[in-house]
Amino acid sequence: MDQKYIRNFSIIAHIDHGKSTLADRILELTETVEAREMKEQLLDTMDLERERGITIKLNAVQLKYTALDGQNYILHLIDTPGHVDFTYEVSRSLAACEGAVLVVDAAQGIEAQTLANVYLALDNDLEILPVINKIDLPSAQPDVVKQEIEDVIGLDAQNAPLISAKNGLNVRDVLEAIVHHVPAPSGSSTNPLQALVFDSFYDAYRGVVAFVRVKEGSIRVGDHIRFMASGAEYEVLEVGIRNPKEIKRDVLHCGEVGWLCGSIKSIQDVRVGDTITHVQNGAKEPLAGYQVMNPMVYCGLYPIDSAKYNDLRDALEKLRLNDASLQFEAETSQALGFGFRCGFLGLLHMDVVQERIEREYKIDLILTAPSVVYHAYLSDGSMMKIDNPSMLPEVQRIDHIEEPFVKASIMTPNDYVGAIMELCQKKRGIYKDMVYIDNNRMDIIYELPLGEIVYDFFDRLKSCSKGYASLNYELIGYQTSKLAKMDILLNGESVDALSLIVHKDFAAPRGRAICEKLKTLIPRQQFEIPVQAALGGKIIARTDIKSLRKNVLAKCYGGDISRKKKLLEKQKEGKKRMKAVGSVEVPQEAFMAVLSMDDDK
Amino acid sequence: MRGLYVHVPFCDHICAYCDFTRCGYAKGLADKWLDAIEAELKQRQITDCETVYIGGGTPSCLSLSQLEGLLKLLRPYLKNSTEATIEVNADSFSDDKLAVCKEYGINRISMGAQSFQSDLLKVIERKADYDMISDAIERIYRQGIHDISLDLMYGLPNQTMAQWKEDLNKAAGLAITHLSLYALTIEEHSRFGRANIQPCDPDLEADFYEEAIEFLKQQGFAHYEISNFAKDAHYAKHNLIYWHYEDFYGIGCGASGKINHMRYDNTRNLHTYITKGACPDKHMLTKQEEMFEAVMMGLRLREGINKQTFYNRFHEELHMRYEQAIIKHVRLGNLIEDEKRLYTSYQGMLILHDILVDFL
Repeated sequence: MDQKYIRNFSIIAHIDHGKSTLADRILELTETVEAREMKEQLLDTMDLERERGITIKLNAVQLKYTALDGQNYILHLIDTPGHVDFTYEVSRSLAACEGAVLVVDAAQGIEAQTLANVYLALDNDLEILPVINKIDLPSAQPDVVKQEIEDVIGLDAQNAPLISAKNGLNVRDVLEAIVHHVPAPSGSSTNPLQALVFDSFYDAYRGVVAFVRVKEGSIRVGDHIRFMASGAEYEVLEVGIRNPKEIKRDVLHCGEVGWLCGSIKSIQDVRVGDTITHVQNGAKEPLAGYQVMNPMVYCGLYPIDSAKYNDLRDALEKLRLNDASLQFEAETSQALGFGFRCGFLGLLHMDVVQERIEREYKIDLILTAPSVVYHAYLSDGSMMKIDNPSMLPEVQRIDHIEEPFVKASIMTPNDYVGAIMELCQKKRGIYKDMVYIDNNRMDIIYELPLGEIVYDFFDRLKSCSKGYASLNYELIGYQTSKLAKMDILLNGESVDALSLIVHKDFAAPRGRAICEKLKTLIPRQQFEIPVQAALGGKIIARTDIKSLRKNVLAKCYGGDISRKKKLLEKQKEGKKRMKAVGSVEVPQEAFMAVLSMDDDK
Repeated sequence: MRGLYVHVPFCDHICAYCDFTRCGYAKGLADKWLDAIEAELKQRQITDCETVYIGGGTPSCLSLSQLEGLLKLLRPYLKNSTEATIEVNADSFSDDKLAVCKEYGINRISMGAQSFQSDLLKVIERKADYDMISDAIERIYRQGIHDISLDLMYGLPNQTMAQWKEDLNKAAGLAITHLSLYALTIEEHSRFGRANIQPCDPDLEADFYEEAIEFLKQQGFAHYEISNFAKDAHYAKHNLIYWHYEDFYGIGCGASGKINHMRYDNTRNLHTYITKGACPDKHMLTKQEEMFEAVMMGLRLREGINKQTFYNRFHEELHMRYEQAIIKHVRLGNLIEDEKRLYTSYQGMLILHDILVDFL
């Protein structure tokens, strides 16, 4: 097909505004997927995505569309995640497109991530097509939302399609807008090859499969290609597109989006953001690619069964293949043995990685509490980056400690402004600004320590605004704070995996809350276990887990044997998910105790 | 040595904590059930049992003629047994039922009391109070049955230590030779479970238990099994078969048996039992399973497991088979191993569940 009839686009939206549902309707309307194959939210291929109703990984499909004027088009739809943790992935998929469909909920209007995504799309010079979804809702206010889009984003929304993705209403208008307003890909098939790798995964039979957008030239089976950043060279064995099933092709033309593989066994050779060119007559310059996002949150990842250490390394390597923002390096903990310090974009990202490792690779994990990266300035003038609280040098050697701050934008209906400001204040926030979005909603700007956001900020924000407030944040740099390491002692022994860095003024209540939480999580054992929190060697909180005095089946006669044995087997299963720390058996969840804070107590 | 257990799945009223196979008594249903028992007994061809235990449910809620009918069916086994027990509730165990039991060779009565506190009896929905129970025990004793066991429960909702002490004291004053003490377990499928009744505080439960052990020792009761106490060596011989992990037949709807390395569980559905028979769910036990179960049951006894008996049965040394678990718990002071036996210490007995997990 002629390049001028190709359209590459993404759908961007705040979480829950109906992005995946719209994608489903588009697949149906273009008859890409037969009705009988249609599953809810087809592009969310991971079980996890469907269960949680979130899109985590991108996915690219080719659609054939005959416009109302009779012209045939090829569309490539590149799905994007909606959660703030995955902003990076959004920017990856946007780099492969010329246009973005911006979905806005007709009842909720613009939310924090609507804006964040719009800015990403603008950074990538994309044509943005606003679409107003959920107009079937009784609370829908399409005109108000249109006005909001014009006022807040500055886009002309007067002709925005008014749709209901759920009911399939006016979805065709979206496709028409795409073919008429999104530009066709530029570039030429005769130029030297430049293909942007925007995603990849590992297939046990074929090796690495890379998703590419061909920006210049074309790519054929049998071509000798080079990954420009890694320098690795391979012969292309297969190329193809997805619809969403894999369809093999002989060639991917300029402007197209598809996949390729070349029996690439070395995961390190394929980096997302790299440019592929031909070994012969290759391009001189790589494409701009994208900046690698630095993880915001770090935690220790340990296999419960220490024999699975190597399996865990394998799993992490494979996950990193299409998740460049996942970082890890080996570390050891006195309490937990051998594991990895891993960096994530946020807590959801961390959760997702944990669940994928446990489900897809069947490795039971212990995660330590997440920590941000602190900068510890030592008396000798040097600086240490601390991503693991237990590595903080002793107090005497430290001059001061800096922590990362974010600029947070919180959009909320006016009613909750008071509660939200109180929350921000409590989380050591610095008030910056407050602007009206419209008559009923405000955008509150605060500078907050990232470390506080990592804890329970998001949950609290949701609960103090009945779920209406939305949050977006970006890192703005480091500031000095009164920080210190808090150690947690079990049975008198400091457990390195439980150490955390806290603000001194909040240390005592936090220490108490952690001790109390651990008391509820660690089952009673045969001896009494003191649980203590210490700051600079001084105990600031303590509670005791009383000893287990009695745990015996009341009665056990002939008919009870199999049932009672099952009870024992169940307990044994639970025990498998515990780690012996010194003489104390500690369950997996306990290492996250610092997360489930309740400062109000 | 083998035992025979017969399950009577009827009760006049279902207690709030109970999740056994049981249903409200109805005469017509019990008649049909009796026919099915006859058929199952015929089919089983039991020849070799030394103990008989008629449990439930509440066997005493059968009508006089049904009870006699049941005993008649069991006569061949009762005749040859050294111990024949029936479970009864004081409120339904009339003099004529008692006489029939005596006549057919019942020589041991297990009576459900659970509590002597009227408020607690109301909560667990049981009728028989202290007066009825002490009266029944007197009648049984006069009838010439001197092996009498009583069941009591602790950890009942809002039960106090004072109430528990009073119950123990009253029980010890009765003409009984045996006591079974059970901590309340909230079973999911009991009324308590459905009402989301919370279990007793574990420390209080331990206090109740330790109080009972101490008190009963003074009263001359030997604490021979986790929940069982006997005076003058009046151990429950039938139950010892379970704890020694020997074979036993189970007859009736909801009964289980273990014969020649096979465990079977009869249907728990009364309608199925009456119309189609026992329909046992059979499971061949592996040696691994049998060894573990022998440990699980044997360690409940104060005397513990006889190592020679274990070796004779499984041709493996108990110590070698469970070396890690034994060493760990001997070191922790939970288990004691000598030349002949492996048994729990006092502290170990209280946390047997935790010990057994390490034997799995």
